[in-house]
Amino acid sequence: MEFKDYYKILEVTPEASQDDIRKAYRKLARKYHPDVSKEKDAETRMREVNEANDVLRDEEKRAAYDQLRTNVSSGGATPGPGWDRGFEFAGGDGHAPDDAQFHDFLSSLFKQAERQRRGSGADARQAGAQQPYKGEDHHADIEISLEDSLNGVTRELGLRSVQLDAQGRPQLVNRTLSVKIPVGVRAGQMIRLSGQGMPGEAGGPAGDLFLTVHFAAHPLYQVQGRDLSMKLPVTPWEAACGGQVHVPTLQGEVEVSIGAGSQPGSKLRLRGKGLPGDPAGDLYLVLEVVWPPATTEAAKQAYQALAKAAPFNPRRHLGVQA
Amino acid sequence: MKSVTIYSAVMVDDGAPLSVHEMACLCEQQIDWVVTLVREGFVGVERDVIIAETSPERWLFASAAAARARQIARAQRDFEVNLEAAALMVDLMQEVRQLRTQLEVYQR
Repeated sequence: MEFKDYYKILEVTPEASQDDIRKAYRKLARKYHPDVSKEKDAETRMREVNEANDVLRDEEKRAAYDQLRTNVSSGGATPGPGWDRGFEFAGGDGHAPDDAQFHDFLSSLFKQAERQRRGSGADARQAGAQQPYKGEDHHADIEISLEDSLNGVTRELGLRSVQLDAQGRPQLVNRTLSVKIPVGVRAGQMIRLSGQGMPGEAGGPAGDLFLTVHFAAHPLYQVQGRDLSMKLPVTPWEAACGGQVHVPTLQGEVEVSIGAGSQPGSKLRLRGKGLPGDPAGDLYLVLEVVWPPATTEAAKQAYQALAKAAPFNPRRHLGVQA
Repeated sequence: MKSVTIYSAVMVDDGAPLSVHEMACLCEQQIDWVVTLVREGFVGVERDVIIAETSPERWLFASAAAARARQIARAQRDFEVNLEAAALMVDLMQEVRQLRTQLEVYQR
């Protein structure tokens, strides 16, 4: 399991005060927040910054982390005895870890410790037995294509979670789920897999797994809710004189009429040709006029003929002559 | 032959809405935080219930409400701002995303 240096991630020293950590976090949050950042790896960096902040801003977690950090830097592969109420790292599985593992493991330890504290409180003692708890719900993201949404798809999901072994110690468990994605699901929507979250405790039911759906970038369409948009290239004569052109839609090729005198940027709406639903979305076509290159003598003559036949000054609104 | 179990996912918006407990869990917040979010009008509940007259235990939430609540929770945490500011940020971010999507159509 890879050890992460949270101080390095937050660009502070291990002696940094809470105020220093807060300032460093704010600076990095502004830089890497995926909703405002233009950095390529913003999402990954923000996740790391949040992980580091979650631990270092909490005095108790920071103390536990510092102890772990000292052990790791002095060559020990596992933390010393007694750290964080007796939890210990299980042996690694020999595979290269990914970014989420270390944080998942730390988080689970702290959550487990909190559950233990809660379970050993006055209420629990009065009850005389451990209360059944529903397992935690888990959340993950899943990326599918527009076609998958249209037709439905079964996807294999690799999931990693922390579960308790027979001795009550948390272990990282990798599992694969085959999930049937419902037809018609849209980007941003959540789907639920009952009982696929964390196992319950003391006979409580398992939590659910929630997946938020994202669409992979499509080579043709942009998605907004159920509506799709696509740039539609047309020739100058199709735009000027009108005509019938073939357009690919998710439901197959269709023929579309282009009105005479259409301008670049004009929008056409194909009702019901977006994503399915009640009502189905629409497909918007944004016209783009594409000019054929004047690479042959015949093409050059044709352009010159056009200049004579339809003279106009496209810069008139700039107040200059043609 | 290896047997494979295929689990059918159900759309939250198609008959499997979220409870207030599930919302709190997904946002990594307390239930009171979700209650405030709803009572202040930052997210809506399903089925047009009268918020003030209905117990939070009976509230149900759609995907969009969950996504918005998660974003607000994240903005509050990431930028250390109050609920009102976080909700405003989420509105503005949503507008930016919509504009970027529109822009992409013209930039392709």
